[in-house]
Amino acid sequence: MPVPHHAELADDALVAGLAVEDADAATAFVRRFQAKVFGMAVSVTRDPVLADDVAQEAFLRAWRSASTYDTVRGSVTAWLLTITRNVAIDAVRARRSTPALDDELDRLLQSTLGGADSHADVTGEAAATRAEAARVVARLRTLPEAQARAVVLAVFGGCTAEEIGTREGIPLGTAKTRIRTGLRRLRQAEGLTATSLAETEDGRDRGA
Amino acid sequence: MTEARDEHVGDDVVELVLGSVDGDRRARMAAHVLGCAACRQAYDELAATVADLLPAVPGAQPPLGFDERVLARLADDASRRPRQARHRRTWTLVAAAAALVALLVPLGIWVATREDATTASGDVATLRLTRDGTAVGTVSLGDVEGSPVMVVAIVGAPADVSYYCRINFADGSTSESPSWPSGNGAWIVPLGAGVAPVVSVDVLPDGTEKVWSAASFT
Repeated sequence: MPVPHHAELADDALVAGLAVEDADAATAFVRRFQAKVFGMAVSVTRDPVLADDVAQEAFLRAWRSASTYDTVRGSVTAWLLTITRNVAIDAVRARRSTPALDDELDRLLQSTLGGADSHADVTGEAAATRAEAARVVARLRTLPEAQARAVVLAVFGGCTAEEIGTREGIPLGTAKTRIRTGLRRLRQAEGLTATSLAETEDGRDRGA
Repeated sequence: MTEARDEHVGDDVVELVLGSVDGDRRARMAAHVLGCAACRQAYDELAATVADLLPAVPGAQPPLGFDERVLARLADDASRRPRQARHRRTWTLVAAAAALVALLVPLGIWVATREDATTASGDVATLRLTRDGTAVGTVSLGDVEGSPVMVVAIVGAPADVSYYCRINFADGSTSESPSWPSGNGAWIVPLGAGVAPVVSVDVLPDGTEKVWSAASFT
């Protein structure tokens, strides 16, 4: 039976390779995910220099914790980008300045909610990665536009509710409700059980 | 599982998951979520929803040579740490429990939760001074009646300095404890079910960002 080249291995097989410090697996892993990781870092920091540091640190943490990756808890992309987002949020906080609310956020909204072709292959991403992204975008587009924008800005842009309120010209409470309601609806669409969070929202979401 | 020590985080769990809170508020909320089953479930479900969205973030072409720089860092990291240490995940349970009890009993321990947690067992890492590597205590991972806990035991602290700890998890997230009474002692921190593995723990003087000592499980 032919042995697949590392570049052809499934994502979780590459992570298994990382866990045993297989250099070829590491190379394939970094090249497969670098555009997504750097994209996540740029979205939150909106600073290419800081994003470079963040993306490198994210790969280092993934490398160190590869043995703890659990396929049951989500995809490799989701796991790696969760690490990246956490590192980016901490980096922005450590710098003690709010990233500019500028064209990057417009680009972020346009890329995720704008057009049908926004996830075309411009970064050399694998087909499976693009397909996973397209499925999420389709779910986001089922939300009312105002909620979808709030979720994109909060989750991908790392914006606080206060920043979203300022950018969207809405009160802080409305921004919080849009984020919360949007995430709740996405969770319900995933078939997850309702929690106390959802129960407490029911009386407050109207008009968001 | 563990009873809550503060109010439930309620709707604010969204801000905690999204990383929109920091400082004392973040520490208080995180400490509560770690020890409250209901809030932990709300947190875990929301965190999973957010994680599932992330693959849709637009990709961006990194600077030229980015992959080479990352791979060089990984190779450097691998060369710095002995392979055995990197993959050592489980210690002898009996030895760990015995060592912990031996450490705790003479100290007149201040315990945040259950006294029988001193029978906890699991991974143990030495807490070493950032300054010169001197051992000043241990951090142990174990469980109390099935609920995961972390025990930080310090024997080399100045009597007049109080500390807090920062827990670094394998998924890149961090959590900070409230500050502790000054001097030596042991502190039990509920970790909650389903929490990502603890990678390392930093101990910092209260009100500072300077790491006084640290323990690593990697």
